Amino acid sequence: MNTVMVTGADRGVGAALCGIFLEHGWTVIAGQYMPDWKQLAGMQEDYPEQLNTVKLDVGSTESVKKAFEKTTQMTEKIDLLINCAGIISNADTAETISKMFQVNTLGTLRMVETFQPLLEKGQKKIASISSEAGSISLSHRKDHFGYCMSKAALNMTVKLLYNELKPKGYRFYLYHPGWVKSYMLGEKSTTGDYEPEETALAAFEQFTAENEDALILKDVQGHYWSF
Amino acid sequence: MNEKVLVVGAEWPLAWKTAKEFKEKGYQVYAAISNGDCRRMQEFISMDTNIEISELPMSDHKKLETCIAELKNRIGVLDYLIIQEDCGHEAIQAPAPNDYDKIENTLSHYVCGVKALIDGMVPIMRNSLTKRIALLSGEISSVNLTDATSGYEFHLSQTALHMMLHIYFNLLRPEGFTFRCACFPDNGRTGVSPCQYITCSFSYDERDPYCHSEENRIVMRDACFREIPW
Repeated sequence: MNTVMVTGADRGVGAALCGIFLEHGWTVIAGQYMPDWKQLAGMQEDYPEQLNTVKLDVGSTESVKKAFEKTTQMTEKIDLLINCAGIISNADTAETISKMFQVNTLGTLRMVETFQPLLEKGQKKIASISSEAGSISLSHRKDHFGYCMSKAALNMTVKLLYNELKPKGYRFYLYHPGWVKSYMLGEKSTTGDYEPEETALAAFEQFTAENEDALILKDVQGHYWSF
Repeated sequence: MNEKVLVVGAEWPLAWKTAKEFKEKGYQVYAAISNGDCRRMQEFISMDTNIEISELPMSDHKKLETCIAELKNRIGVLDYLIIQEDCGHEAIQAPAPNDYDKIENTLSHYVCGVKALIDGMVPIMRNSLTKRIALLSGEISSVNLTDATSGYEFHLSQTALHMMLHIYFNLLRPEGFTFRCACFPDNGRTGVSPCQYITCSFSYDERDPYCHSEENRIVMRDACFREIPW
């Protein structure tokens, strides 16, 4: 059975990804940041054999290490790692920018480096949820410095990982989920083009297909975005 | 020639070379050490170049704020702001696993320091006719072109700075600010110098459509004027 690990799995796109992979028979290890949020508990009732949760704050090295230890007790391999955990802040203070770098950018690096022993034994697929906000060439915003910089730096992180790990058989997916009615600002947004389930379905199709022999930022509709 | 230039990150060879070239061409040049290297600062002062040397410590935001305020008072109106912030360059070969706290520290201190610097200097650039902000970068900072497998601290901070520059372009271009991003080697022997690239005028005629002017887009260029993808 294939195994996927999803970070930021509590709600929004992360939870929707868990749901779709469960429906397709995958074993899902859900990185849980908000234990009080009940969406994953509901899924666990429907898929008690397939869904495992593990406490995970990708912004903390200690938490990622603990999650790795716990995950090794659940599975011998991870076929696909989906780095979905992300935060946004409308404020651009040194503190909020730092936090966004910790989670949005370094979260992926922590996860890949720490979980590599399990990834080595699987299909060696790594997917990261990026954003058009990280495209420097197409940047159009006049604010949200922290979010845009953290997503651009995420793209660079994935590029460096790609340079190192592609020769070892790894495949990488960079995904722009579109404008999602997400929980990024706390409450579920009432505006957006896509429900989390819609963009998660498109992501599932991309992440389970063979991809290009290149690192490309691809969106929910399959369109390519330049860096 | 009364135009004033502030070169930040003068501890880096390219930035210092650029500062000297501006001085040779008659600009009034201010150069700032941004990594707190006091010895280097004294060395520059003792060179007697007629470049005003000061300190802008990117990693100490409280002190940086004070230094920016003092420098603003001294400069008055600023025409060119030139920044090189190659933070983490010394760790470019750092092996995995990475020191995440160190990377985060560089990102939040240096990148936020540059943001504080630009935010601080923009008010004294508004009265300038030139209003030009330039970043001295490098090809290896291009997400598209880099073949690096290490040096996260450096690469991530450079990428963040590129994005920051683009957002400032979006924000300030309508006010007449212009931008340059130079991908030049330290000791380039061909092509134009950073000073030439930063000071040259690009096609710009307000009557033309926006896409007809180089000033209405932001790109990285190398010494041979080739466009480098971000």
